[in-house]
Amino acid sequence: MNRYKFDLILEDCLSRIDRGESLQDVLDSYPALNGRLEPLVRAALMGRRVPKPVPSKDGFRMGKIMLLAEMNNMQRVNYNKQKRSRLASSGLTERWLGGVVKLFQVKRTTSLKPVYRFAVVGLVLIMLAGFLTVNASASSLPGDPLYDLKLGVEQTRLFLTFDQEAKQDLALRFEEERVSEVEILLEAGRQEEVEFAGVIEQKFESIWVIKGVSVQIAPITELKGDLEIGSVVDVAATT
Amino acid sequence: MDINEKALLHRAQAGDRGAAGTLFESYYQEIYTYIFYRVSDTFTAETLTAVVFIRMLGRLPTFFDQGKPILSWLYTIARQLVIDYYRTHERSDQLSLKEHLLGSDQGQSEGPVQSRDSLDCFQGAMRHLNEQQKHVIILRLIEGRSIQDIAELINKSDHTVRSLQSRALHSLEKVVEMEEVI
Repeated sequence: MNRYKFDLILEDCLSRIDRGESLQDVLDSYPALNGRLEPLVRAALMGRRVPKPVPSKDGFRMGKIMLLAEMNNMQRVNYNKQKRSRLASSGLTERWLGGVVKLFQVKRTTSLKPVYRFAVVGLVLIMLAGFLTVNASASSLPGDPLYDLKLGVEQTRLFLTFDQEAKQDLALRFEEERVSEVEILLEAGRQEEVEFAGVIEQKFESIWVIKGVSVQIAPITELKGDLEIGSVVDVAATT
Repeated sequence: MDINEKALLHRAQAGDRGAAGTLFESYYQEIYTYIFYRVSDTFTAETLTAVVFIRMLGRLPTFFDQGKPILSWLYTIARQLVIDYYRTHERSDQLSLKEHLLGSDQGQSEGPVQSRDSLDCFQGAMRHLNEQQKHVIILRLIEGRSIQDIAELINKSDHTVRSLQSRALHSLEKVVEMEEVI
């Protein structure tokens, strides 16, 4: 008997046992193959007795949290990409550049003396350089040369916001920005020192989820105070 | 892929957290079982199972529906993940399941003596199976699926699955025979 036919008969035996027939009845249907079939069917029955592994409830719950946290991360990263893309393609920089060029063209048509013309151009260029630097720093990340400028601008904006509610909103926005920066760095595979604040959402062995970001707790990690799920913490880490 | 599966996938593709959660709940056990019999401990199995679904999320935007069950796609991701896992950890696919299964609630409820014997033999046999044979045995014997179901899930013909099953049972039987001699 060829292998193909034998495999079919073996499967027939297993299917019939699945439907409730006894091992003996099934083997009696193929007396000539009894010696070959019986050990294989018995081996299959032994395999059936092996219990199905049951995952722990914690493992299941943690897996689902990780999945949903990742979904949040992906949505945030996509949002940031779109935001950056909008800024790069049709953002303020181009509009300001267009305005300055227009201004320069207008000035050229007037009868200003050359010395004043150069003074105006120089002033505009200085203002433009300052603006471009600040504008460019807005999309900088930890480790970038302009990142300190970005933090400085944020602090200035907070300082100059006198309405308490608006100040709190702004502070929250800047905290969200810190988390977005971490996500972008992680996505880009860049290793930088970062700081952010957030609520401990989950603790799973050495992995903690803080404000949607998975943080690896190493033996050298310095943990201050009672850090339970729900605690608000400041994180200083490396991506 | 049936209509419900399609709808769930489309919703998850559109960023629906509920749909992603439902996909996770629907297929977690199957993926966990598969990975559990491929790696050495429950913690690793649970972590890798979660990573399968995270990889699924990452591939959703480019997922092309070829009419196959979602589970088939997830098994493909899981298989690649296990390969990556062993490549990264430079370990072999040799299992030590007995302690873990006996340590689980269900393992104990089956009765210690019978479970231990079954597990001894099963573990020994699994060591001799190749990856495809192992997958067929998990789906056929542990999950109780039909040959046709398995063929669809692992993208093989019925004939190939029957052949894989037959060869795997030969290995299993050899181990039983050796145990009896010992």
